Amino acid sequence: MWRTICVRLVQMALVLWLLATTVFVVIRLAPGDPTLHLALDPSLPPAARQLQVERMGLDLPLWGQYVTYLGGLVTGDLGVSMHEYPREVTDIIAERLPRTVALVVVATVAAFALGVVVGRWTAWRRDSHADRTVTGLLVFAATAFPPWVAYLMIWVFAYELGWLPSGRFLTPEVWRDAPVTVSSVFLALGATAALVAVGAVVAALARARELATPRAVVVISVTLVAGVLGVWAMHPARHFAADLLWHAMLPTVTLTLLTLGPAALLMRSAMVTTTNTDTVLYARARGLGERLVRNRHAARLALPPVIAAFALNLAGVVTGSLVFERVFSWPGLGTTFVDAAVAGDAPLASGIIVTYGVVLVGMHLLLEGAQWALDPRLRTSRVAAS
Amino acid sequence: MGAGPASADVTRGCVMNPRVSADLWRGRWVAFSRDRLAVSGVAIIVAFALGALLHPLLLATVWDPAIYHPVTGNDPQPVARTVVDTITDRDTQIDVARARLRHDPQAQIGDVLDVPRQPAPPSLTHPLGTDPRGRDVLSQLLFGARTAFALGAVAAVTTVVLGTGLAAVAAVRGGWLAALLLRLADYVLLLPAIPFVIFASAIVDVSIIALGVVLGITSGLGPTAIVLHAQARTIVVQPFVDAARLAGGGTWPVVRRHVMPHLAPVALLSMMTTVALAIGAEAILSLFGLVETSMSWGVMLGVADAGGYFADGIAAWWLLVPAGGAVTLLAGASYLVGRGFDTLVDPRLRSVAVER
Repeated sequence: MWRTICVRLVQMALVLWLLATTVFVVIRLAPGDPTLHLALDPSLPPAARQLQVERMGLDLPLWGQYVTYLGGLVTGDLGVSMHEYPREVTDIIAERLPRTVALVVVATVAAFALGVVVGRWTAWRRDSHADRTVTGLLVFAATAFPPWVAYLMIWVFAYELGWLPSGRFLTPEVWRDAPVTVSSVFLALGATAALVAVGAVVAALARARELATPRAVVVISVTLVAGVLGVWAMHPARHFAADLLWHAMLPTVTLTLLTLGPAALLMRSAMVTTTNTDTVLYARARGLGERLVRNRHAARLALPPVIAAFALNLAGVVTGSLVFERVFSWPGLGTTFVDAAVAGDAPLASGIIVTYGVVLVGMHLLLEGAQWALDPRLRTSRVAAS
Repeated sequence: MGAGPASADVTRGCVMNPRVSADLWRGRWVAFSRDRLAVSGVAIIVAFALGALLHPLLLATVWDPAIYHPVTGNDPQPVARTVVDTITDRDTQIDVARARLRHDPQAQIGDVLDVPRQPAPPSLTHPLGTDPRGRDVLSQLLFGARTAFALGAVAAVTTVVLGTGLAAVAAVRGGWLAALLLRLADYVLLLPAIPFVIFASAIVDVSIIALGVVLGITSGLGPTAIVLHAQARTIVVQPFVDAARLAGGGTWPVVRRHVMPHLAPVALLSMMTTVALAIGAEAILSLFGLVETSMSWGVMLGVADAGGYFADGIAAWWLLVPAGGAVTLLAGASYLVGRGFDTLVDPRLRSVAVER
């Protein structure tokens, strides 16, 4: 097993190396000299340009630049952004990544939880009118052009109804002279959500293993949630936290809706193939109720591909959020990336794309681990194959 | 294959009986044509293709290129507006500052100016109205279909050629070559494709064709190759493949005559998924002006976005609904057709009504 893990890690390192090298090659393909605009400025002494050239390492031969670049990646030094000069690229990424992660994680979890319920409902009523209607709607949701849906939501909820803010991350008036930083409040909120999630998982496990009675689980959960809410209600930064949550509402709901389509369709198509399996027939033959057969047997068999898609959707931090964040002016990694790309900010854009690579690769490793843990067949087949 | 009689002898053993082949495809067509959603997907694609073909004809006959050209055309459709201090009626008035800046520096309050109406709502001359630069939206929509088909075709061909090639070679040859190719597919699967195109577009110009090739490569060498390889492996162990080999068929003829026909539905499914992906990706990239193309559905949305018409909701619907709807419809139709192909491979997916 340790051997498999080591081999996987080496392979992932290779993927990242390949990505970093491709990025380097594309940057070098760019026509022109990055310091040319400095040379065109007549008020700038040549010595200053020379200094800039040396700072960017452009006086080195190509392989020297390549080694410097790879060394920088390994030590976490991604250089200085041009677009948001003079901030460090690592600093910008550390600030923006949590915002994207929070948005994507909350929306993906909500969408898949709903998607499993909707998908199993339509699969069970396969080829009925209800199934046709709902599946048609889901296909529309899955194929609708995302920015279009996002703008539609903004128009309805922010302009026509005026319930929610039309994007942005916070209200500047509220945050003027704030004693806390935006990132610290945001991270505290994220930590709270993670705490509640861990609590929910523990409660579910305790229920499944029958370690606690249903009543005890409910009492403990309610106390915990009330405690967390109470702490926030007393906290001096509560207004700021409320402002952030208020702005996060519309993007989160929209991303959930957009993810729901593919999630439910996948659940449906996975479950359509499990409804006529022998397992389900046997469950029926044992005289189990229809609902029990559906939820405990047919749906459970359909879960593995859905779990895989869930993990890959979490990696949608990469592609899914690109347009989406920009439409909602959500200052996450996607907005930063598109802005950097449009502005031709090579250090920031390449730094973010390597970050994307790390996120994708990490998610893939986690997914493989999860499948290995969940599906015993994978373990035996691995052994048999090698 | 070779022209000499010797090579014809060798390949004769692995020629699929034409009647069997025809029956295979006829059976597939019957099953496919019973899938109503897939057929409506085909109908949508055909409708867009007809529109794309119609466009140059219209431009050559009834549409004057000076007015109707999707990129350089312009129809100002002037409207008489009174110059006023504060606007009370948007349709007949224009405020004095704007009139002086944009139309006539000497404009006085009370003057009547001929102001171009851009964007103009649908009318008889422009069935879908004009865009913020006075260009006909219907003409752009039809021209955009051509761009979408060009992109889709390039992406589809690249995907299918690379995907089937890699999968078939890996499945038939096996050994170190298969291991190498499958590791390559793993790598490509993990590369962030769309961010990479955005990144590349910041540095070099990305054309529609280049975009199609890049998306085709990332799909063909990645997910498509993996799915097709899984399918190909179940085919190469079938008795008829052994029979063809025993009859003296070489690797390539066996792949072409016996493996490929059974790989086709899955390949078509992957192809349609890639087409849907490519159309959506192009629209997203063009929305931000990251693709070098004169006109496409994404560019239409980008123009509306740059003018701030998205925030107006449905007030300027003809700028948003045709282009957004076309992207959604064509991508959705590709998905439905692909799903129809999927049903052919996996009989469990066929609806109960068909089996009866």
